[in-house]
Amino acid sequence: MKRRDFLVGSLTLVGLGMGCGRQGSSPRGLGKEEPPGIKGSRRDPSYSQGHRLLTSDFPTVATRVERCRGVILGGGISGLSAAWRWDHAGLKDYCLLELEEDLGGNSRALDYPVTPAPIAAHYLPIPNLEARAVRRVLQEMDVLRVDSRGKASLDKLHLCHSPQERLFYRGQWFEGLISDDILDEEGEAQAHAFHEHILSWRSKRDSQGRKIFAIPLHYSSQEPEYLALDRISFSDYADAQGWTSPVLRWYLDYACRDDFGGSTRECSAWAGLHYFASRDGGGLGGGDDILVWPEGNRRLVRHFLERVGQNCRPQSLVVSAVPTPNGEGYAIEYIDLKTKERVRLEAEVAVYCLPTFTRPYLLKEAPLEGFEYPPWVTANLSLKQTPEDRQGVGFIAWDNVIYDSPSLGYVVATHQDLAFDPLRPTVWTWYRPFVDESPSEVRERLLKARWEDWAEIVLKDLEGVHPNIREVCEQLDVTVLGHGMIRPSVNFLWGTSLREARQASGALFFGHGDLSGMSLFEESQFRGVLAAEGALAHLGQSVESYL
Amino acid sequence: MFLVATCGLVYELIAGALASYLLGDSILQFSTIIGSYLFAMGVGSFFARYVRRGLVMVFVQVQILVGLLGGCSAALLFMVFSYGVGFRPVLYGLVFLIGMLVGLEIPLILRILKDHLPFRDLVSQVLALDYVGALAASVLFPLFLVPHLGLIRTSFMFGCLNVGVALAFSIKFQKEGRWAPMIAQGLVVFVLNAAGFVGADQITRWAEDGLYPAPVVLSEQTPYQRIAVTNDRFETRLYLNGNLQFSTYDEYRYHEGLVVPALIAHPNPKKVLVLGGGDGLAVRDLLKDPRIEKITLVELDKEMIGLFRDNEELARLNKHALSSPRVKVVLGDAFRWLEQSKETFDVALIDFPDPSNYAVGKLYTDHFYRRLTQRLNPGGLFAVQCSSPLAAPYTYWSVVATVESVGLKVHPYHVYVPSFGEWGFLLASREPLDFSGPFPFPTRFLNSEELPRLFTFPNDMTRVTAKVNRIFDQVLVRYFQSDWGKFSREPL
Repeated sequence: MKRRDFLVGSLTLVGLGMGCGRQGSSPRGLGKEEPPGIKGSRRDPSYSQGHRLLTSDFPTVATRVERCRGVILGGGISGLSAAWRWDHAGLKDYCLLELEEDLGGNSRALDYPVTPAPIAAHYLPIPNLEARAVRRVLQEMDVLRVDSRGKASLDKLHLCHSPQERLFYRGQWFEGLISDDILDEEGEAQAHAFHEHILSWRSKRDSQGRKIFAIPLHYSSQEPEYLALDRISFSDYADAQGWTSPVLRWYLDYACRDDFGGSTRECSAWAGLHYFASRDGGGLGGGDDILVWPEGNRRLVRHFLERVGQNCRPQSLVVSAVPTPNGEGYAIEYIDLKTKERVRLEAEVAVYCLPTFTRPYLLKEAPLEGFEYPPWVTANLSLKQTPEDRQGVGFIAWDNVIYDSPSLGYVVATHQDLAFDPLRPTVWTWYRPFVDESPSEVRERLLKARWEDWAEIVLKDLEGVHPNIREVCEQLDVTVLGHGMIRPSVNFLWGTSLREARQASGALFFGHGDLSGMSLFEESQFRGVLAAEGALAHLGQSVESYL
Repeated sequence: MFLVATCGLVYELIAGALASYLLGDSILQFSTIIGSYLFAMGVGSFFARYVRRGLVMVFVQVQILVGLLGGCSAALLFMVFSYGVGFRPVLYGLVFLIGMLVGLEIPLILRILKDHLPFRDLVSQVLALDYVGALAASVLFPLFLVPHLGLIRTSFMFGCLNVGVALAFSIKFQKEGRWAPMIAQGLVVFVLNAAGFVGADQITRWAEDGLYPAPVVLSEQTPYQRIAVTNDRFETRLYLNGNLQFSTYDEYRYHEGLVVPALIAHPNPKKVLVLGGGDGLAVRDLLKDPRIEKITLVELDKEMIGLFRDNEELARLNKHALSSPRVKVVLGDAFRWLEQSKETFDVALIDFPDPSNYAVGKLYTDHFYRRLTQRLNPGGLFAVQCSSPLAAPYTYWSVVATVESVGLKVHPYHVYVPSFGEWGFLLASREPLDFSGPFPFPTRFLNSEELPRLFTFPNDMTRVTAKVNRIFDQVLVRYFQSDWGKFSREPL
């Protein structure tokens, strides 16, 4: 018997030895094969419909012509924000076209008997003071309250309950994503230095009194010495700072994968520092405090839809957008996927809130440089009860992360329930971005993968931590997001390509969140509102900016 | 050969699994055990050279010994751990002995068979079978053996197999020696292992007895907790997850402390709410007050109610309080029930477990006390058990600060309960309370001289500054862990 044989035998056991000792626990499943109980499906965005743009297998002549003052292409957060802004400005004669049946883009959710659960975007940090439009939305929702003296406060029940995060590291859960318990002495010193470094960035102001890293990032300092941070990778920056501790480096990498879908090698130092240093709680709480809802950011989507829902046309595949013959407006043609009819919409202004990578197909522009969209796979697991885990049931956090896993772990939709009962059903959302690989190759692979393949990957990832996950999992729905989000790669955020892509073209305004270079609610809303206000000015209506 | 290899690896896995289960830190346990085991195998192989004659006899003897040591290893380690005598020396001693014996096996078997097969075939066959056996063990162990047989039975079963191999060898090579004593030995060890296999549950019970200071008379794993009741001449004790909940010797002090001041302070309690406290002892005391018309008890664990209402011996402890027509038992989470219920009460008694984790910690947040206050009638009040102001001052005063933060008047007090130590409570109400009223029923502990003393705090229990426990920032769980962490020692 060789050492290697022992190790193989023992490693399979590390996960198991823990559970099996717990007396009286139910018998464990035997095989690795799919238990018959789990059902589920791939709930992808309408690839096949979207990809019809490439094959053009749809009616070529519009059979109906409509006119309205404005049209918005795309019903994610940016499109809905544009509609919300128009609605506030009294512009009601517009329509919003969306390919999917559900509006909200990455902020959509799935409904399960026990709770809804997000497919992707699942939290909103407490908005900074400069995030004025975000604060306005939260005030409308009564999450943020302003008293007669102008003092703002949050309804604290929406803040993520304790414990917020935990990390599975070497066979054990630890509270928080990085704690002294998992750092050696040197790592602890580096983590401390990192923390101090971030605090100094947070409080720093440039010569004009601007924050170095603001949200929306439009308000960040424009001084060259800071923008230069965008031209190196976050990992080079970390090397230069002497942050060598593997645990600390994992933590930085985790943050970038989580927010940007990129590794520290792929994301710029400016973006990485922005992640840690931009949020200050805006006088409402701590910089790390976040608002969470069971359904994730669909809570915000639903708020927009209350106002603008009647103007939205889901299941509408836009196939072309060209200036009207007189050159004064924009003509949009789309396929109504319910009736298969091709419709022509002539509007005085159009706001383009589809991701920028679609522009070559719809606007016949040359492909834009630097726009990278890493693919994501997420999975919603509907569970009969909270699975076993080593620390017992009182410890489960909202965000549960597995060290050194390619996944980002999972969030628990029922976390904000006032009563935690491990025997009640729950729903988790599991996340996996694809980093350090060619996005287009990954996309090709993902298109071919079957539901079973992904269900197995998800279950394997979780099984090391929760040995009985297969027994308690009743449904597992996989969402493949081929172009998951924009990535703030090195030299992208403050480069020329992004700046040029924001330029309006006549009556066409560009408002997708990827024009900020980061996929955040605040940025999508900012871009959507900015484009909507630009369009209002184009219509001759002057409004005070919400931004 | 295949069986021998499988057995060898299984014992090593058992030692690793038991050590990581009992001692925690599986990486440390597994790597040190693998290391010791491999080293011991090397030692065994080295000493194989000194075996000169009677190779088959020695091999059979080794098998029987491995069967004995390995077979009993899990049960032995369990017992040793429970009774707290040097677990680690026994663990590593056993691992070393078994490893050494297993190390002897391959050199011996190669020499025994060298006359039966050409050397080239022999080496490759023996080693191949050895590796395949290791694979079988490492796959069977986590997937089949542990889930279905448990560690103790698995180890006894492999003990039997080892002896089986020994006996088979004896029969095959019967011409080469005197076998009668060997077969007798083998049979004894076989019977021992088989008995252990059959009696594994009893062994687990004995081992468990060792974890508690008195014999365990009842032990049940519910979905929420492990309930254990111990009993000796002096007292009956209830443990939840290994933590003492009450001892019949002095629980009257605790329960009078929880119940009586509240009933003195309220002029006319008709409806009373009890949250937690499924043992029914607080309800038993409440029922002594004739003014009380209805008691609602909300308890999460239905097994607790089952035991303390339907088990004759346990129900006797609370004088069958849970079967009283004045008592309504609600099964469910207290927070959820508070959110949903519209009922209101004159007095509420909060008797939750200590805030050792976030799930329980939610029941000690400002939000919880706000909801609870909404369920109080005008003039209503509630009492909370809140850990020890002496041993866990930050925990205790954090609960006090939390209740104060929702705008209530708080009266902190403490009671000495010998089996717990100094124990802390608080009373809370919208208006300050008056304790000059009559005692609600004859008491065994509290009297009118002692009562005012409960509300004074000597120097070693004076108030410390502690933060409010909020649902999005549960400081209380961290206070609790650091307060009580001072007292925890490594188990071994």
